[in-house]
Amino acid sequence: MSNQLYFEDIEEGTEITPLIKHPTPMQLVKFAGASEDFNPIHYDKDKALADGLPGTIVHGRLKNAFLIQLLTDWIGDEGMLKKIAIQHRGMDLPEHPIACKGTVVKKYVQIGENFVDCEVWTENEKGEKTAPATATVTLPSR
Amino acid sequence: MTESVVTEEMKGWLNKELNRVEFDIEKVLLRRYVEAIEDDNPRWKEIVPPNMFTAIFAEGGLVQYPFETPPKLLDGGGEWEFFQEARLGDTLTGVRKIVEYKEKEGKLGHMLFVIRQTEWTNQKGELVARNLSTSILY
Repeated sequence: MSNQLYFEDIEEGTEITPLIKHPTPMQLVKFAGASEDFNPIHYDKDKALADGLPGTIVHGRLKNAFLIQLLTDWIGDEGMLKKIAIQHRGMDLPEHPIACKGTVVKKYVQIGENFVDCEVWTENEKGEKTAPATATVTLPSR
Repeated sequence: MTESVVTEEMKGWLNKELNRVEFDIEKVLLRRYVEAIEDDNPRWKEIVPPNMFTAIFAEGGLVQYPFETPPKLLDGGGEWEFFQEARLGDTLTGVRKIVEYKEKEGKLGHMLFVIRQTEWTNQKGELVARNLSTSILY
């Protein structure tokens, strides 16, 4: 594949190609259906407000999906996601874009595999990191 | 500091099997999922996207506990390790247990953190993924 990312292409500090997602109430409903997560805080504003939330909020698990899409888009078919740890620090609201971003922290070879440690996160319009994460992927060599 | 809400009954559930779930990886399941997350990578017609483990297969706000808990729940995130790919036609089994309780005062009041582990194996009994997830109950 022409767009395959290789271990030699990246360095510590390399920026991961950002992915901007635009969650809508419709997407939250589709995700609720696909994931069978019918917690009303994701579609019932009154219930969300009664729970002390600022309104309906984006599923934390949908943000997990966005962050991993950032990585799987970037590492291509021959890359593998090995590990990811995600913290849900802030809430995101539908109708507000979520920017998924990241950088390479470290690259190293271990038992013949090319490992890359990354920091990735979701960012709201104010530039706040709402779901910071650390991830390890492997990449092929040229 | 509010008193601990962790009861003896809750402590008794530590490291015991809480429940197990099974997913047959079918075309429709994969299609509905990638449509919901809006990821049109053609790979996901055959291969289970790893974020399915962090999204659909993780319980998020759905966790049912066999004991009384504070009524409100937030998904605090988690960590996932992937050992091999899962594909169309596989059957995945997840075995869940509670591995830790933590408590903290925060902006939502007294918060109970429940950390759960899920190990996912395929139909051959091979380990596919392992997850530690945190629920925040308040």
